[in-house]
Amino acid sequence: MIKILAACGAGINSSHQIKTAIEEEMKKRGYTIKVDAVVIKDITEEMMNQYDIFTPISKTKFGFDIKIPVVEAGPILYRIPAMAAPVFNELESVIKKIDK
Amino acid sequence: MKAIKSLFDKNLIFIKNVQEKREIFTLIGNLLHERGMVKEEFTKSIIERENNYPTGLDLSPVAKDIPNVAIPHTEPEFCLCKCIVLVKLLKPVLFQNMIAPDKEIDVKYLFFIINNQKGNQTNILSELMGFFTTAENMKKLEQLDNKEEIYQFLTNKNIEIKGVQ
Repeated sequence: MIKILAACGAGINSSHQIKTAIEEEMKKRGYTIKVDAVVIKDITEEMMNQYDIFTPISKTKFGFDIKIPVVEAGPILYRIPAMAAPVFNELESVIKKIDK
Repeated sequence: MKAIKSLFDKNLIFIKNVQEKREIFTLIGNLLHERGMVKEEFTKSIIERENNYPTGLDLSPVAKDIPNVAIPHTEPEFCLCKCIVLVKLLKPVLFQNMIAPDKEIDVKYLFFIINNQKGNQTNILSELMGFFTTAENMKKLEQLDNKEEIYQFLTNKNIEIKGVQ
Protein backbone atom coordinates (compact mmCIF):
# COMPACT_ATOMS: atom_id res chain seq x y z
CA MET A 1 0.00 0.00 0.00
CA ILE A 2 1.36 3.37 -1.10
CA LYS A 3 0.78 6.24 1.33
CA ILE A 4 0.39 9.70 -0.13
CA LEU A 5 0.38 13.03 1.72
CA ALA A 6 -1.70 15.85 0.18
CA ALA A 7 -1.46 19.35 1.63
CA CYS A 8 -2.80 22.87 1.26
CA GLY A 9 -2.91 26.11 3.23
CA ALA A 10 -6.08 25.54 5.23
CA GLY A 11 -6.28 21.75 4.94
CA ILE A 12 -9.99 21.76 4.13
CA ASN A 13 -10.64 22.53 0.48
CA SER A 14 -7.88 21.92 -2.05
CA SER A 15 -6.10 19.08 -0.29
CA HIS A 16 -9.38 17.20 0.18
CA GLN A 17 -10.29 17.62 -3.46
CA ILE A 18 -6.84 16.36 -4.47
CA LYS A 19 -7.19 13.42 -2.06
CA THR A 20 -10.55 12.38 -3.54
CA ALA A 21 -9.40 12.78 -7.14
CA ILE A 22 -6.16 10.82 -6.63
CA GLU A 23 -7.90 8.02 -4.75
CA GLU A 24 -10.56 7.64 -7.46
CA GLU A 25 -8.14 7.78 -10.40
CA MET A 26 -5.50 5.46 -8.91
CA LYS A 27 -8.17 2.93 -7.94
CA LYS A 28 -9.35 3.02 -11.56
CA ARG A 29 -5.76 2.36 -12.66
CA GLY A 30 -5.56 -0.59 -10.31
CA TYR A 31 -3.40 0.70 -7.45
CA THR A 32 -4.01 0.39 -3.74
CA ILE A 33 -3.17 3.72 -2.20
CA LYS A 34 -4.18 5.85 0.77
CA VAL A 35 -4.15 9.65 0.75
CA ASP A 36 -4.18 11.86 3.85
CA ALA A 37 -5.00 15.58 3.54
CA VAL A 38 -3.34 17.99 5.97
CA VAL A 39 -2.48 21.66 6.59
CA ILE A 40 0.99 22.52 5.24
CA LYS A 41 2.11 24.23 8.41
CA ASP A 42 1.35 21.07 10.43
CA ILE A 43 3.80 18.99 8.39
CA THR A 44 6.96 17.92 10.21
CA GLU A 45 9.92 15.94 8.92
CA GLU A 46 8.77 12.94 10.99
CA MET A 47 5.27 13.11 9.47
CA MET A 48 6.63 13.39 5.92
CA ASN A 49 8.88 10.37 6.47
CA GLN A 50 5.85 8.19 7.13
CA TYR A 51 4.63 8.68 3.55
CA ASP A 52 5.82 7.43 0.15
CA ILE A 53 4.80 10.41 -1.99
CA PHE A 54 4.06 14.10 -1.30
CA THR A 55 1.43 15.85 -3.47
CA PRO A 56 1.25 19.59 -2.66
CA ILE A 57 -0.66 22.05 -4.86
CA SER A 58 2.54 23.76 -5.98
CA LYS A 59 6.22 23.84 -5.02
CA THR A 60 6.37 24.01 -1.22
CA LYS A 61 9.37 24.84 0.96
CA PHE A 62 10.03 23.36 4.38
CA GLY A 63 12.72 23.84 6.98
CA PHE A 64 13.96 20.36 6.10
CA ASP A 65 14.81 18.40 2.96
CA ILE A 66 12.00 16.32 1.49
CA LYS A 67 13.28 12.77 1.07
CA ILE A 68 10.24 11.31 -0.70
CA PRO A 69 9.15 11.92 -4.32
CA VAL A 70 7.09 15.09 -4.86
CA VAL A 71 4.32 15.37 -7.47
CA GLU A 72 2.76 18.85 -7.82
CA ALA A 73 -0.98 18.19 -7.97
CA GLY A 74 -2.50 21.68 -8.45
CA PRO A 75 -3.76 21.12 -12.01
CA ILE A 76 -6.03 18.31 -10.72
CA LEU A 77 -8.14 20.99 -9.02
CA TYR A 78 -9.54 22.23 -12.32
CA ARG A 79 -11.47 19.00 -12.87
CA ILE A 80 -10.44 19.17 -16.52
CA PRO A 81 -9.25 15.73 -17.67
CA ALA A 82 -6.62 17.17 -20.05
CA MET A 83 -5.05 19.14 -17.19
CA ALA A 84 -5.23 16.34 -14.65
CA ALA A 85 -3.87 13.58 -16.89
CA PRO A 86 -0.17 14.63 -16.79
CA VAL A 87 -0.32 14.76 -12.98
CA PHE A 88 -1.96 11.33 -12.72
CA ASN A 89 0.55 9.89 -15.22
CA GLU A 90 3.50 11.28 -13.28
CA LEU A 91 2.01 9.94 -10.06
CA GLU A 92 1.48 6.52 -11.61
CA SER A 93 5.09 6.33 -12.81
CA VAL A 94 6.29 7.23 -9.29
CA ILE A 95 3.99 4.60 -7.75
CA LYS A 96 5.30 1.95 -10.20
CA LYS A 97 8.89 2.70 -9.19
CA ILE A 98 8.05 2.40 -5.48
CA ASP A 99 5.91 -0.70 -5.97
CA LYS A 100 8.79 -2.71 -7.44
CA MET B 1 -23.27 23.15 -7.93
CA LYS B 2 -26.57 21.68 -6.86
CA ALA B 3 -25.02 20.57 -3.58
CA ILE B 4 -23.82 24.06 -2.70
CA LYS B 5 -26.68 26.26 -3.89
CA SER B 6 -27.94 26.70 -0.36
CA LEU B 7 -24.59 28.28 0.56
CA PHE B 8 -25.27 31.37 -1.56
CA ASP B 9 -27.21 34.26 -0.05
CA LYS B 10 -28.62 37.42 -1.67
CA ASN B 11 -27.03 39.45 1.11
CA LEU B 12 -23.64 37.88 0.50
CA ILE B 13 -23.24 38.96 -3.11
CA PHE B 14 -21.35 42.19 -3.67
CA ILE B 15 -20.30 44.35 -6.58
CA LYS B 16 -17.27 46.44 -5.58
CA ASN B 17 -14.57 48.68 -6.88
CA VAL B 18 -11.19 48.37 -5.14
CA GLN B 19 -7.54 49.03 -5.93
CA GLU B 20 -5.96 45.89 -4.52
CA LYS B 21 -6.80 42.60 -2.84
CA ARG B 22 -5.98 43.67 0.71
CA GLU B 23 -8.66 46.34 0.43
CA ILE B 24 -11.39 43.87 -0.53
CA PHE B 25 -10.29 41.39 2.17
CA THR B 26 -10.56 44.09 4.83
CA LEU B 27 -13.91 45.29 3.51
CA ILE B 28 -15.48 41.82 3.35
CA GLY B 29 -13.81 40.66 6.59
CA ASN B 30 -15.19 43.62 8.55
CA LEU B 31 -18.62 43.20 7.06
CA LEU B 32 -18.79 39.49 7.86
CA HIS B 33 -17.54 40.17 11.38
CA GLU B 34 -20.24 42.82 11.91
CA ARG B 35 -22.83 40.23 10.87
CA GLY B 36 -21.39 37.69 13.32
CA MET B 37 -20.37 35.28 10.58
CA VAL B 38 -16.64 35.22 11.26
CA LYS B 39 -14.34 35.93 14.18
CA GLU B 40 -12.48 39.21 14.53
CA GLU B 41 -9.17 37.59 13.53
CA PHE B 42 -10.67 36.40 10.23
CA THR B 43 -9.45 39.41 8.20
CA LYS B 44 -5.88 39.17 9.44
CA SER B 45 -5.92 35.42 8.89
CA ILE B 46 -7.29 35.52 5.35
CA ILE B 47 -4.79 38.20 4.28
CA GLU B 48 -1.91 36.22 5.76
CA ARG B 49 -3.10 33.00 4.25
CA GLU B 50 -3.52 34.52 0.80
CA ASN B 51 0.08 35.75 0.98
CA ASN B 52 1.42 32.33 1.94
CA TYR B 53 -0.96 30.12 -0.02
CA PRO B 54 -2.49 32.14 -2.87
CA THR B 55 -5.89 31.22 -4.33
CA GLY B 56 -6.02 32.92 -7.72
CA LEU B 57 -7.23 30.58 -10.47
CA ASP B 58 -6.12 31.21 -14.01
CA LEU B 59 -9.07 30.25 -16.22
CA SER B 60 -7.23 30.75 -19.50
CA PRO B 61 -6.86 26.95 -19.90
CA VAL B 62 -10.69 26.82 -19.92
CA ALA B 63 -11.29 29.61 -22.45
CA LYS B 64 -9.33 32.65 -23.58
CA ASP B 65 -12.09 35.20 -23.14
CA ILE B 66 -13.30 34.59 -19.59
CA PRO B 67 -12.28 36.41 -16.39
CA ASN B 68 -10.18 34.77 -13.68
CA VAL B 69 -11.44 33.93 -10.20
CA ALA B 70 -10.00 33.53 -6.71
CA ILE B 71 -11.26 31.37 -3.87
CA PRO B 72 -9.99 33.06 -0.68
CA HIS B 73 -10.50 30.94 2.43
CA THR B 74 -8.90 30.29 5.77
CA GLU B 75 -8.94 27.79 8.63
CA PRO B 76 -12.36 26.75 10.03
CA GLU B 77 -11.43 28.13 13.47
CA PHE B 78 -11.87 31.71 12.17
CA CYS B 79 -15.31 31.04 10.65
CA LEU B 80 -18.64 30.90 12.45
CA CYS B 81 -20.84 29.58 9.65
CA LYS B 82 -20.78 27.84 6.29
CA CYS B 83 -21.46 29.98 3.21
CA ILE B 84 -20.03 31.36 -0.02
CA VAL B 85 -19.51 35.10 -0.43
CA LEU B 86 -19.31 36.28 -4.03
CA VAL B 87 -17.67 39.56 -4.96
CA LYS B 88 -17.73 40.85 -8.51
CA LEU B 89 -15.03 43.47 -8.99
CA LEU B 90 -15.69 46.31 -11.39
CA LYS B 91 -12.05 46.21 -12.35
CA PRO B 92 -9.69 43.26 -11.81
CA VAL B 93 -7.03 43.19 -9.07
CA LEU B 94 -3.82 41.17 -8.99
CA PHE B 95 -3.68 37.78 -7.27
CA GLN B 96 -0.98 35.15 -7.25
CA ASN B 97 -1.79 31.98 -9.15
CA MET B 98 -2.66 29.12 -6.79
CA ILE B 99 -0.90 26.43 -8.80
CA ALA B 100 2.05 28.65 -9.81
CA PRO B 101 2.48 31.18 -6.96
CA ASP B 102 5.32 33.03 -8.70
CA LYS B 103 2.87 34.18 -11.39
CA GLU B 104 0.39 37.03 -10.99
CA ILE B 105 -3.01 37.08 -12.65
CA ASP B 106 -5.88 39.58 -12.95
CA VAL B 107 -8.86 38.42 -10.91
CA LYS B 108 -12.41 39.73 -11.31
CA TYR B 109 -14.55 37.36 -9.24
CA LEU B 110 -13.90 36.32 -5.67
CA PHE B 111 -15.69 33.34 -4.17
CA PHE B 112 -14.86 33.42 -0.46
CA ILE B 113 -15.38 29.97 1.06
CA ILE B 114 -16.47 30.46 4.67
CA ASN B 115 -16.59 27.14 6.48
CA ASN B 116 -16.49 26.46 10.19
CA GLN B 117 -16.60 22.68 9.78
CA LYS B 118 -13.53 20.52 9.41
CA GLY B 119 -13.80 17.57 7.05
CA ASN B 120 -17.03 18.73 5.44
CA GLN B 121 -18.99 16.21 3.39
CA THR B 122 -19.63 18.32 0.33
CA ASN B 123 -16.48 19.41 -1.37
CA ILE B 124 -17.37 23.05 -1.92
CA LEU B 125 -14.26 23.79 -3.94
CA SER B 126 -14.82 20.87 -6.27
CA GLU B 127 -18.40 22.03 -6.94
CA LEU B 128 -17.24 25.60 -7.59
CA MET B 129 -14.55 24.34 -9.96
CA GLY B 130 -17.22 22.61 -12.03
CA PHE B 131 -18.97 25.98 -12.29
CA PHE B 132 -15.82 28.00 -13.16
CA THR B 133 -14.61 25.58 -15.78
CA THR B 134 -17.86 25.80 -17.71
CA ALA B 135 -16.98 28.88 -19.80
CA GLU B 136 -20.65 29.79 -20.42
CA ASN B 137 -21.15 30.35 -16.69
CA MET B 138 -18.34 32.89 -16.44
CA LYS B 139 -19.60 34.64 -19.59
CA LYS B 140 -23.07 34.81 -18.09
CA LEU B 141 -21.71 36.33 -14.85
CA GLU B 142 -20.03 39.03 -16.93
CA GLN B 143 -23.41 40.02 -18.36
CA LEU B 144 -25.12 40.35 -14.99
CA ASP B 145 -24.68 43.59 -13.14
CA ASN B 146 -27.03 43.44 -10.24
CA LYS B 147 -26.97 41.23 -7.16
CA GLU B 148 -30.49 39.91 -7.59
CA GLU B 149 -29.78 38.65 -11.12
CA ILE B 150 -26.50 37.09 -10.01
CA TYR B 151 -28.22 35.32 -7.13
CA GLN B 152 -30.99 34.02 -9.39
CA PHE B 153 -28.40 32.74 -11.83
CA LEU B 154 -26.26 30.97 -9.19
CA THR B 155 -29.24 29.24 -7.64
CA ASN B 156 -31.07 28.46 -10.87
CA LYS B 157 -31.83 24.76 -11.07
CA ASN B 158 -31.07 24.71 -14.79
CA ILE B 159 -27.55 26.00 -14.40
CA GLU B 160 -25.08 24.23 -16.67
CA ILE B 161 -22.25 22.32 -15.09
CA LYS B 162 -19.86 20.06 -16.83
CA GLY B 163 -20.26 16.52 -15.56
CA VAL B 164 -16.57 15.62 -15.41
CA GLN B 165 -14.44 14.93 -12.39
